[in-house]
Amino acid sequence: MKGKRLVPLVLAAATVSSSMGLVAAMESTASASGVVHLTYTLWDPNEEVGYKQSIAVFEKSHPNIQVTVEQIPYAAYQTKLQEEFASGSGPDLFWINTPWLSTWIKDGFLVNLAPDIAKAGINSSQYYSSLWQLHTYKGAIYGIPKDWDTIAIYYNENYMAAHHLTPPSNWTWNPTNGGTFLKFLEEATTDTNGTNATSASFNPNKVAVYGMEMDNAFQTGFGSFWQMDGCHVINAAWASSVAFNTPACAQTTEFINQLMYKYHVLVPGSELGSNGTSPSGQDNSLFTSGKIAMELEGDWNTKPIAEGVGTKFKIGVVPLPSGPDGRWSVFNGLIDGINVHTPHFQQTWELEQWLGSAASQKIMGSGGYIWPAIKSLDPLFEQAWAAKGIPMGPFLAEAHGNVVDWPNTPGMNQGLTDMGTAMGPIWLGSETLSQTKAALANAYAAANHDLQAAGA
Amino acid sequence: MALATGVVPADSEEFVKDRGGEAGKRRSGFRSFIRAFPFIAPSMVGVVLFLAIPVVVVIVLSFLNYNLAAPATWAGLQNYISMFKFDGAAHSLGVTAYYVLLNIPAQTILALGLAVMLNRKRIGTGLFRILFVAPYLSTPVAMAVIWYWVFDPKLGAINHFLALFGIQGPAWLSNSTLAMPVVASVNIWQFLGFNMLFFLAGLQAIPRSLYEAAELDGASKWRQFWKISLPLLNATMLFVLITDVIGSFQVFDTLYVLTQGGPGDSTRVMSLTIYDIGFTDYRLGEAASLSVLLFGVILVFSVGQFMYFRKRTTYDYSS
Repeated sequence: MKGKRLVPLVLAAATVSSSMGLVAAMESTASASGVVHLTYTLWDPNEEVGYKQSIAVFEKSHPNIQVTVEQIPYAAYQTKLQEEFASGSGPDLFWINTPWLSTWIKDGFLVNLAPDIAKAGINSSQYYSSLWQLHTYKGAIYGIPKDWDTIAIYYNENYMAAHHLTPPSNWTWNPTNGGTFLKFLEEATTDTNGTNATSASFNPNKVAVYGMEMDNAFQTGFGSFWQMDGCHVINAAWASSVAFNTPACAQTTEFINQLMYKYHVLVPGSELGSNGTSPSGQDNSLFTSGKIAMELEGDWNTKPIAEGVGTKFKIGVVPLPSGPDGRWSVFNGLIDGINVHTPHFQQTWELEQWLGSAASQKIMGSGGYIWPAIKSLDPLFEQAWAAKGIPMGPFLAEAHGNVVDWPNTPGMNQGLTDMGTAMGPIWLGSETLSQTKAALANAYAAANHDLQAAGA
Repeated sequence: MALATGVVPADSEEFVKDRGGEAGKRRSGFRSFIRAFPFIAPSMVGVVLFLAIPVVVVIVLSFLNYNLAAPATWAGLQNYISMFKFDGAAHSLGVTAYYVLLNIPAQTILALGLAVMLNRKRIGTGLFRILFVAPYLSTPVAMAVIWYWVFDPKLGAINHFLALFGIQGPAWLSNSTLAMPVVASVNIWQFLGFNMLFFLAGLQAIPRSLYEAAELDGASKWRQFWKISLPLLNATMLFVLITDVIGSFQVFDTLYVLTQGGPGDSTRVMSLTIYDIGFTDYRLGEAASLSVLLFGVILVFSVGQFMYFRKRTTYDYSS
């Protein structure tokens, strides 16, 4: 009797364990025919379309390698991959966003590709040098640059034309009187009577269209403006503490608050989610619905913005205004990381090289999916969008100008999240300078704790 | 009233005799357990595997430093200190208690009121029952996403509606005074019908004869509710309150979609803090210590409710 009962149990256990083994083996397998199956993971469904085209070409020239492209939504991406890495599994090749880079390097999830890059004789000078720097740590390189992005300003051409306005490309701002930037924002902000914010009869309680938005986020919000006024999140990559406890940071941040609540030319942060961080793309929705005349945004959002606008109005683009320290844009780029646990390093390295190559970046650039990391291919992306009526040149001009890298140090991803929470009050209502300083002090303490907890 | 209706308190001598007295108690003793064991064994496997073991693991984890990548190291009580010093555990606990306070009384009273109103045979009663239960049948996250846009200050339906009357609606979810009541109202809306079902079932199990007898005695509807309905809903009330209080302390999905803990951290309930610490920053030891704290609080509240209801008389009217 005992034996009879044990048999199903043993069978069940064997089935479960064999299924688990199958699942583990599915992510990266080599069949008896010698074909290696790789998994390539990314988060952007728009770029996924382009990468599938690129990988189809790769598979033709590498018949022994088959690639499954796995798209994971951004919100779940880091968590899912980190858990897979920790369990010794995960995709062979995957996108890395800079916020996680230092933590993943520190935790030993990534292969150092510096020796392979040198051995393959890859010409690094054809890429933006800042992209190599962004992904290098103590001589180790964790991926070949694939793309880059900067921040510029999209505007509603029809609205501007109707109000006889032309967004300037050489505008300036300062935290004292706002400069020509504030002047233009006032001209572009109108109330329900059609009066703009330069007029004494402008009603700030009945604004129909705000001049612009600036969300409570480093990359697509305050980051570029902080840098333009001498304020830095960290003083150097791999810093052990944050550095925004300076008078310059308080001054710039207070100016942003005044743009929202004193001058009423930026949409109030309270209309950009519970902490002004645009968690559900409120900035895009406000722009595409015509509630704001301009949107401060990264170029990777061009496709969703263009789709949201449709035929409602024509989209223009202008560069950021110059601040007291000149014009600076937050700059970032993606690489593909190779999983230290991949059983097929050589084939994964082949795919990595392909995706970083001019041939793949031509496909991606000419399809309008990414700005190629290879400088000479940038015109392809610009032309692709010019054909759709959107002039992307300002983003490129910014990439060739002053750029500030994503603040890359362990714990910075959580640090920026906690900064968003602590700085929420600055985005949600009129703040005095001392209140702004207090909110920044809270953000400073929270971010520092995150960096220390992550071992920065 | 009890003699007139034939209902007796469950702990009265009469009730115990009716149920077989001491002999009955013995029968429901060890032998009953042995007979029942094969039936409850499959469930026990689930409870042990997916509840008891994880609880022990979380308690152990709360004394460790662990980030998934590096080997765990002993932290002693450091996580319990850090959660108050750096993670705002006290604040989160206060916010969670505020949410529970907003949620439970309103939800319970409204559900009971609805159940009383819909416990009648009238045209359309069935339709209303379905309408009130429908939100519960929907996914909380999907519902929260819809409400998120309904409450949007510029593009949302509510402020558009208010604008028709010249009223400028507030930024509902970006206002630290309004945000939590708004979230609680969404939750009440979603679970109202579910709780109503329990009260409705409880009300329908009460024999009509009790109300008829009360009417003969000249009791008003209001008096009938207080003296018959409410006392006989004791067991239902205990179940509804315990499950709702536990659910409210554990609330996550609605807040994650609607506020992400904002404005500032005014809606940062315990579950959001645990999620952030555990799955954004991978300080799993600290997240575990926060979970243990939440577990302890829920346990205290649940035991407290059990003790309160045990002191109250329970009536048996099944015979």
